[in-house]
Amino acid sequence: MNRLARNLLIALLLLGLLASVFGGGKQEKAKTSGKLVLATLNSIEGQTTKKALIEYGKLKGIKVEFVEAPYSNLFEKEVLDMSKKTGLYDIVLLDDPWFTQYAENGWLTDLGPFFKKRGESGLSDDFIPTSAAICRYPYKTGKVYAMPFFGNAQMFFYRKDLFADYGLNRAPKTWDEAYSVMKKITDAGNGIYGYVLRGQQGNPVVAQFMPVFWSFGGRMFNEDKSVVRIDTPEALTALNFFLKLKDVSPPGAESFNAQQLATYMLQGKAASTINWPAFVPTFEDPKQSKVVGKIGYSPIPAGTVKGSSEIGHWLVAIPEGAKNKDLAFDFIHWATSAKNQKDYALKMGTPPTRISVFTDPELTKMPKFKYFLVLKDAIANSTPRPRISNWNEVENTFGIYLSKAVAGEITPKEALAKSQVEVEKLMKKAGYIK
Amino acid sequence: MNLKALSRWTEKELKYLLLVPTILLLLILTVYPLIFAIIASLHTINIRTGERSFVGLKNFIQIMSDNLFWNALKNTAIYSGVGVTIEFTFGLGLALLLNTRLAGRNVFRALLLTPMMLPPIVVAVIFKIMYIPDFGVLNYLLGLIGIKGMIWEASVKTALFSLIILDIWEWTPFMFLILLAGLQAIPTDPYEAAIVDGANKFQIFKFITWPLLIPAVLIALLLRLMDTLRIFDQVFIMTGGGPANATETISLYIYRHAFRFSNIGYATAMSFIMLIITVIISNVFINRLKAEEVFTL
Repeated sequence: MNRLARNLLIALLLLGLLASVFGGGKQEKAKTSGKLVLATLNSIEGQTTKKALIEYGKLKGIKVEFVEAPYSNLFEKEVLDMSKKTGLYDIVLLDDPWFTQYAENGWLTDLGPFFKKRGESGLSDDFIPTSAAICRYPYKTGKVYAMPFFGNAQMFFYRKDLFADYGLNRAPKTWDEAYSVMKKITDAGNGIYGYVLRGQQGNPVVAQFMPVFWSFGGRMFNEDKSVVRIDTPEALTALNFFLKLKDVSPPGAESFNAQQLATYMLQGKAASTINWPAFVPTFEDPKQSKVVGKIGYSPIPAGTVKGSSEIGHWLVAIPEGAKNKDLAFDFIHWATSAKNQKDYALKMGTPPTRISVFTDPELTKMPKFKYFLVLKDAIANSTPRPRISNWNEVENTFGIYLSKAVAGEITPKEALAKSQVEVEKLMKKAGYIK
Repeated sequence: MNLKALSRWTEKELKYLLLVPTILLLLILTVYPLIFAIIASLHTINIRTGERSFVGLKNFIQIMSDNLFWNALKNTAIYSGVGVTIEFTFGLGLALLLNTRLAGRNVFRALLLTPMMLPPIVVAVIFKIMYIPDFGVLNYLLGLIGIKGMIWEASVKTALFSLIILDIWEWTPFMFLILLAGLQAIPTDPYEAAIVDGANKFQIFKFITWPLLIPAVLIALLLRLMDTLRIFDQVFIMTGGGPANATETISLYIYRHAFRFSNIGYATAMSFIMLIITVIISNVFINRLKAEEVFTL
């Protein structure tokens, strides 16, 4: 046996291995026709989307598959798939702040032609205009790249009974009005705090600050994003008020996330907060809540201008590399229909995006959906997070300085000045500032 | 070629052939990624913008002037240094205690191992609830013995310390386990000889137990140091790096750049620096282990 024969044998073995690897890949590809693959979240919204797809699969007699992941993981998976155009997923569920980045890179399918094929001009007028606006790139005016599935916008939650005890028999209309009651409640020393602030560094503290920022007339950028407006008098007023809210919040708020907010409300230890409507079913569940029926839901109070909450929709879209676009479109069109959204609201408690479902008397007369009308207004008056593709970076940077201000490490003035400088750098890098 | 020659060949060369899958796997899973990482760290790679350009050592130069990186490195160093030292002290104490003929020591040993069995995420979530200043159980217990409760992971001053407490709770058993195994591997005759010679307990520990325990000590410290240098899950759940960046660790910072900002090149360069630091630290221990003749390479 000579060396040549040995080398040949090894080469053959290697070839065999390679063939099995690549051959396997090809087979996989051939099988995918007539199948829908969904990338979804492990939350109630994600579960509902999954359920919808299973139902749809049965209806049409097609195979369906899912990839489920927690929040930040889902983002990573989707980015990896779409940036490499692997076409792993036919449908993606996405959080609206991710949308700009996806659409700007051309990762999503333009839904216009698909609407045309059905003889429709585009997104139905039944969707709340602000919900429809975030599905377009550029914002509000551009082509449609997604459909709004679950409507979310922050609401102001307050204890109706406690606010009444301190002389306010309705939802506070302004922050001043709200704050004076919060202060009295905290000062009464019953172990109940007037407000509970979501102060954890990063996304949580920014999401909590934005509605306050907006209600004092602040805007992070100008219209075409070429000017950063963080170091402004409006922002300073807003941040100073934000710190006042922290003073009537429980100790430790510097690290609170949405879950701790809910815990304080459920235990009856806090009188108000800004949070997402996803917690409403928990508040009204006697098994978990000590405050059933006592919590009022209202839009964000006004500061110097009308209050506005952050919009946080879950959208469904089709990646550019998807293999089954027609079928995928048929599914998202079907799933976001009024009939189905109502069905999911009833069965899963998820909020819709269509006006006709929000105002459906059959739903609104049920106690657990009494907040629907408030939520509809909150969404209609909401503001989206700045529509920039590098929002993750900007949010992180702003979040660091907000956290420093909330922790008392630096003054509000310093926090804003430093954020301004750092965010400008990021905006320059991303090409928004020429 | 006849049958006899073939069988002789197989006998001689088969071992190499059988190694092919392993070597292939090694190439694919470690050598290729390592080379790729070196290349990536010399590029600006951004998945979001699709940018991909060679920049030489620019990433590394940028890291040197990146305050957030140094802050993360400092936090990680404190976390590793303080955490592992305390874990080691407790672990050694427990191992010495439970190596004696204590009544019910088997029960103690089993109980001690429970923290280690829990997933770190679960531990983090539970600690976050226990740390709530108002109705968390920790401040309640402190209140019972008359100590005023404090703010734990939400204060800049105590945040990192609170995370270290969690690490100590969860990983002291690991130290204990390795040190106990080390203690039990020590033969009994040197002790008998020492007692005959009239050595006291301290002398026995200093001149017999400790020198013979050194290999176990080194292994325990090495594993825990390497583990804490890449701490991620607890921080991610409990503080997200805050408040005011007081608990931002290297892993968290790398993760942010790689997966949140799609800044793959920069993140890879940071990982590379972390790799070098880890290799240097572990080599100190590994050289010591070689000197102890625990293993030879």
